[in-house]
Amino acid sequence: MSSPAEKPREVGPQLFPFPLSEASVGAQLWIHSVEGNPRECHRLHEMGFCRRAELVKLSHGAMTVCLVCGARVGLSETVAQRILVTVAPGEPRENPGNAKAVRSDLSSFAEEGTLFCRIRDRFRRRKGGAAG
Amino acid sequence: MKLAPGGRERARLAEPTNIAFVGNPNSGKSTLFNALTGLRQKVANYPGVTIEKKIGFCYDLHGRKCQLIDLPGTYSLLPSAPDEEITCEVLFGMRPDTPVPDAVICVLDATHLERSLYLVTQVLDLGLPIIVALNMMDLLEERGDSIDVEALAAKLGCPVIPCQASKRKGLIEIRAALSRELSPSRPICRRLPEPVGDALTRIARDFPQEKVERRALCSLVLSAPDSQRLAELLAVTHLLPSLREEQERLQEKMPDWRQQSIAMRQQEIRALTADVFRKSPVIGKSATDWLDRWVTHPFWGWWIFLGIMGTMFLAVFEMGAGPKDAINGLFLALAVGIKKVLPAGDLRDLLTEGVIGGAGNVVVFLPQILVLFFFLGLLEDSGYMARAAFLMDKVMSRVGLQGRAFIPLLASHACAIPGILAARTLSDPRDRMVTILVAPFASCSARLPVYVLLIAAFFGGRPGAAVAEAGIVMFLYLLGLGAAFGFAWLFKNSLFRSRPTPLVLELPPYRRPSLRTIAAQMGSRAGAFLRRAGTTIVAISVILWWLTAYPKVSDGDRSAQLAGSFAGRIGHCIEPAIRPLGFNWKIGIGLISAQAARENFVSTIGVLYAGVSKGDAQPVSLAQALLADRWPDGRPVFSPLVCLTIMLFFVFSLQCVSTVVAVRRETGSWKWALFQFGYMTLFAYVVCLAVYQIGRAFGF
Repeated sequence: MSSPAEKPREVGPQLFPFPLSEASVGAQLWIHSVEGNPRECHRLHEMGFCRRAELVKLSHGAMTVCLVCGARVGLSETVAQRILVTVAPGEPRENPGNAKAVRSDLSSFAEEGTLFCRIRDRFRRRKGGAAG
Repeated sequence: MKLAPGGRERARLAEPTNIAFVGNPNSGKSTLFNALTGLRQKVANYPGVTIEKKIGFCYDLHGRKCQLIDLPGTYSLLPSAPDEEITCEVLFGMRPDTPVPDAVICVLDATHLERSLYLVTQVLDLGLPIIVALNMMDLLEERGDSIDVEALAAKLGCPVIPCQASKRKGLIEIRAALSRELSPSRPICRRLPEPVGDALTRIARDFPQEKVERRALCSLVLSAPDSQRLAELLAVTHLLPSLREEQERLQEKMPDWRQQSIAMRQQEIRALTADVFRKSPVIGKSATDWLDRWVTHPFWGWWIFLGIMGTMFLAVFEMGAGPKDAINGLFLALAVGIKKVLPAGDLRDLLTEGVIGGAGNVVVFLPQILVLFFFLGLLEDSGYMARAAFLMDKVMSRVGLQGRAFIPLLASHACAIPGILAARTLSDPRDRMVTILVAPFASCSARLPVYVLLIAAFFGGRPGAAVAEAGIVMFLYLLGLGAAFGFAWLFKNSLFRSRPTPLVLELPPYRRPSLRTIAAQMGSRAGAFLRRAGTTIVAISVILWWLTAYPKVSDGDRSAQLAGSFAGRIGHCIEPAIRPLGFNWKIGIGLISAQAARENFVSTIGVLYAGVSKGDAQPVSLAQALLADRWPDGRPVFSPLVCLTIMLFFVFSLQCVSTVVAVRRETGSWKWALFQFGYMTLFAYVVCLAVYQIGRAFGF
């Protein structure tokens, strides 16, 4: 599990399961598994977060918003870290987060939507570096 | 209509057919229920609005009476919160006050077909006759998607009716379906991992025969992460040892058997959906995408939230002030008219000082309360509430609660009681208890007359007053929320320690708010407010007037009469306790009467200051009367510091008997209701004492 300062991951092939929190905005993904408390996992499965279900990550701001089974669901950072996903077939493997290649309409939204997060993360990284 | 066992007999005896409404949260069950029954249950565009079962009646096309049971939304028949338990209890026939439904109307959000079908397949397993209502077909068509309704009906083996409950489309078809013969449903998702199927066969043998399919119930209990609770619900706790044995056996054979079972069902649903659902090839950025980009933004989202709050309070003063002054003028004119018509005496004083001075002074705030409800209605109906909860999750998790708990707090701004009931949507019992204990800190509409009266006394009529007034009210509302967060943190780190439940919340698409829905809710709120003003508040005002009028100690000298009256004597007894807060005995009497309902403070003060007038027949407004009151040393009683202290007392204290009773009902104990009353009152007293004494020390 990576620290919040490393998010969102922008590049790199993702052939193995990785947390939803690390996926790029606009990426089309498949759910691999859900980890954590059995009760919470069960409810997530019932809401459609089950193995091989398709998922599109819509935003990564204060929380993660994703589209699953046609419904828009908001997830806290903890939950997004517990949902492991893989790249959906058809998504370019070289860059799973390259939304422009798959859903150009969502990509601009994604890029603009995460600008603040990127600045914030960069600031956190610098702060972390200085502290270290 | 072919009915479930026992149903035919009831029909013969002209008993109504029981129809339960089931569906995912925010799928439009209550809207459809309202459309069919003509009732006005609360509807809004966020999950978790309905938290109780509601009963209504309609007639099928043969004129036969149907009892409709609106139930809280759920994603599955394995309940994870008390509101979902109600739905499951009714469907399983385990609720003593509700008969087993003869049929079920499954309300589906057509835009979320795949997700909604999970619950439908579980209900089909129960073997009850089912009608599927495909709601929100207009939104589906707007998106360019389509559903092959006939194919879906054939696959589900039950009638499927497209409808648009908000526009009353499809109601005739639903009533027609209720008139026809319905057969018990059959399960369509039969696949299960082999060991799970074997375990089910073994347990089902011992499972008691219920009114619904026992294999379905058995499957639910077996796969429930908390079998104990569901077994208690179904009264099969004696089977728990064998259930646990099977669960352990399954865990050894197939560690992810629960996930596998759900995944297999979901696969079948996906295959079914693929056959009937046609998605538009064009994917465009929707208005919801665009709005969410800003509204849920970690930085701009907060500014939008504060902007909305500010606009709402500004509107309360700007839009509500004119009608309020007009109503106030009417009551003053009425009082003058009564004084001219009736001879001096107790009856005249009772009407002018008791009824008009008391209840009339509360009714004048109706326009401002309605403006507040209009804006709350806009927020609820547009879909913003879920975003606000989403935005608040970060803050809420810092105090140990989940963002979903913000919805009960927001609902408490209208009235604490629906807010306390809305805490049923929280799955963690400790989170629920903490939310109930802090919900009354959210300033409800009953506090608004007190705030407006005291603020208007100082700012009314000055240039730019509305902005200052709105700013102060917003500050008081935020202060209430701050206190709620602070005490939530305290409780979560002491009495109710638990890990915060991570937030998973469906974000409904934004919708243009329905003015009809908002107007209906405003009408119902106005009705409730006027009923209370016309009953409780009038009664208390009349009692209070009697307490101020008797015993007769002085003819003509109003101050001497008040001081010597029963009310005056009681007030002077309690004055030593409230004097350190800067309150005189009249304020003390107001605080006592406000224990029944907060608006009573205004009516009580109205009665106590009713005799103040400019001349013989020229009564002044209540705000002016307050400003004219002086201590014996000539200092104004209602100085800005005292007004602030009174408002702070109202922000922090719990002065509502109905809320105390609601907390007792929800927590199942007087202990927590009294604890809440005690800690809030004590906190309010300490804060007011500190503010007043520090303010005095600084010369205010």
